[in-house]
Amino acid sequence: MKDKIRESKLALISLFLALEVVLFIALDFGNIGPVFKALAFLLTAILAPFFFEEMKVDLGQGLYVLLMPILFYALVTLVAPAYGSYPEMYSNEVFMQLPFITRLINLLGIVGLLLLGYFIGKSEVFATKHIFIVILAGLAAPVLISLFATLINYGFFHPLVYKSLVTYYAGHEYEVSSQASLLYGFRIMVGDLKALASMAVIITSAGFGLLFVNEKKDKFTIISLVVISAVGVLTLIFTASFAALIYLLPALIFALLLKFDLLKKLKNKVTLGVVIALVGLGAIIFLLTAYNIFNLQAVWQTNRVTRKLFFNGYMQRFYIIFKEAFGLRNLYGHFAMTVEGYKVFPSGNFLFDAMWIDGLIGFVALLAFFVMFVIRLVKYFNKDKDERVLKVVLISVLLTAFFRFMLRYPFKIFTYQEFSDINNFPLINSPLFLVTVFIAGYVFVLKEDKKIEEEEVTHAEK
Amino acid sequence: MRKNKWIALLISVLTLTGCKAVTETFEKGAFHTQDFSENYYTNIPERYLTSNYEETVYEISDRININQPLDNAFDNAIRNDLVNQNLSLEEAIKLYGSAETKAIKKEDFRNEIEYMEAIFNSLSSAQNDKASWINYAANNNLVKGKYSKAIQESFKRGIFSKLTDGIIKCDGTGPKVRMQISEQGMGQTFEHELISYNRFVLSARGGTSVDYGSYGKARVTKAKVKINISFFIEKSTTNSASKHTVTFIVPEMHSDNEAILFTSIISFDLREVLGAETLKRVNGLMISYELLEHEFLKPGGVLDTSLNEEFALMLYEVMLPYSSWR
Repeated sequence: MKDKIRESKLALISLFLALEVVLFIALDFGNIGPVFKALAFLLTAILAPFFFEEMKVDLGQGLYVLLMPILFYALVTLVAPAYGSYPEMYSNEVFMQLPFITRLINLLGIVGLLLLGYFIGKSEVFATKHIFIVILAGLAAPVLISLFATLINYGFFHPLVYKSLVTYYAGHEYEVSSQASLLYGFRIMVGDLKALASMAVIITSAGFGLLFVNEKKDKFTIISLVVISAVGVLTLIFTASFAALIYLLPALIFALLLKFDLLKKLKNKVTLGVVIALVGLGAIIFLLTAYNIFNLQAVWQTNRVTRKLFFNGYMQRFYIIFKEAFGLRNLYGHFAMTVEGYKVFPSGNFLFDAMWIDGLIGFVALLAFFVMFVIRLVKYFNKDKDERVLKVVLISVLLTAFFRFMLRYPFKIFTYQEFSDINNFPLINSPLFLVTVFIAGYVFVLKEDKKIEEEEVTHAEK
Repeated sequence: MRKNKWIALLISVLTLTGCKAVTETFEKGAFHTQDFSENYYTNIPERYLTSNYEETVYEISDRININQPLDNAFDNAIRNDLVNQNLSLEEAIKLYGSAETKAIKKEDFRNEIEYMEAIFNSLSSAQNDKASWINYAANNNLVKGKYSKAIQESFKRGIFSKLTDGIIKCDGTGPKVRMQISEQGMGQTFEHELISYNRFVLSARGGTSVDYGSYGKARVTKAKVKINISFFIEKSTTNSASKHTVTFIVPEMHSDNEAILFTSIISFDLREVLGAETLKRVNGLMISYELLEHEFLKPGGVLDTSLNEEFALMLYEVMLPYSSWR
């Protein structure tokens, strides 16, 4: 198969273009993003015949299970009311006003991206390090441009310099310390500094891979990772977004555990039992509080600590969203931002946001995709022949993004009220989510080094 | 060494230019505190007070129209826009026509004049709330009119945008939506120059710090105010710096009226009053006033010096419908 692809100019060009498309998606061209999704689907259609035989085999071996949830999720986004518009739209409603054709392209594009990841992985035309660095560079470039624009417009350390000062726009006042200049498509727009800091912290986490590089071996990887993570670090420093560094913690812990070989020690039944017990306990507390069994909501409110832990503003939103979805009152998405006068959207957590705007069906599909992806990721981490540095880079970036968006998503990315429809941007338009889908397809293909394995077996036998 | 120089150069360039978005900043919460006397916006560009502008004053009290936000804007604005061909009949029907207006069919009339008459009657009908000043402002403010993106953007930036956002009355957000000015007034320099103009519209009302209840007095809801609006033209190779001030008396300006709709909308034909060329190249504005009479604070035009309470002019909107800028 590999020979067949290498012999075909069409396949080679298409694979190269596919990587370009992924780069452009990572670069985030804002409202022209659907163009790249359409291209992703087109390239998938061109490449599919070359991988037809392998696909037939792999569909039965797990690719189908990875593909179906994302297809279902994308199907929900096609019909969920929040993605469309309505003749009478009010400010307390989410309407992303995406035309049907855009939603259809989203659907085709996301499926196409997953398959492109699979095709590129299967073809082995590109080295993994090149693919990862292209994606990371794509994510870092808008951060760098936004950093320059922010420095030009606000100067260095502006949250400290302009603390408690405001500017006015369209009659409303906005705090300078929370503003940044963000690249959106080909425009620089005033946005939330936290959105810039989030992207900065995500690309910074790629730098943890440097803990595992061999200085003599791979200068390209070292230089690329240094530059990419430096863009993130400098953005965080120059915009005085030091608080965002906290989101590096999970990736840092993971990298350190791996570096000092502690991960293997933690891989035992006791650790697994503790994790399952904690997750189970959390789920039970969540369920009991959501349905107010044993009058738990009142109980939590009697104590300041328990109130902040289990009955804060975010948790109250989560309870409502959960009950609406699992009470089967919200099957394929809601467009209201409030329930009985209580604000529920944005919830601050990307999974609960999905549960609200995509309903129970959309959420289950999305969750199933993430579960399948994590399973494949673990397999990739344990079995693929790729260098450890690349695996750490990938997992660090994904872990940081997941941790960040579990705690605050979506942002009010663009500050001014007139951009509210862009701000309610769906997960399906998020460059990070789209490259994650691509990566899911890519890591599905395990490049096992059979020779090394065989040698190891022989040594063991001796 | 060379690299260090480049980095130093980059940092110094960014430091020097790092102010574009923060040229006009204010303390958070300024102008909307609980203390009336702290809410004045008093900024006037220094040169408007110190430089030598050649001033011409135009007294136009007899040429102004005064309306309220819910009044029909047809007679004092929309008709003018139609006559001056700034607005087509189709656009007028689309923007300001009620369901009845839109139902009027040309083929039902014997000739164009009768059809136009029917449309005009429908547009100017008191029942047609689509032609209210509120709707007129929503379509003709300086950020939503037929201006280029750059011009709209320039009027969106800065505190002056409170007067260009199309909100011509109190919207429930109190001082946040308006600009409270003292008799010394406020001034603003624009990023662009005015090239052509038609009408000028000012939406404002009076406001005081008087607690009428504590005096056992009825609320005073009208005030006689003299308003001065100065337009500034900077010195050029062909002209000296000039200032054209239109001044007019509003005999019964709404003041302290509890009903949020009671705002005075003052409009006049700027082109007719000053001529089509006079204000060409204007890039600045100053609005000041003089309280002439207030039944409580200045009864019969004599200031009651025993009182500490203050009168302020609350500005909501400045409009120059169908003006052009460069």
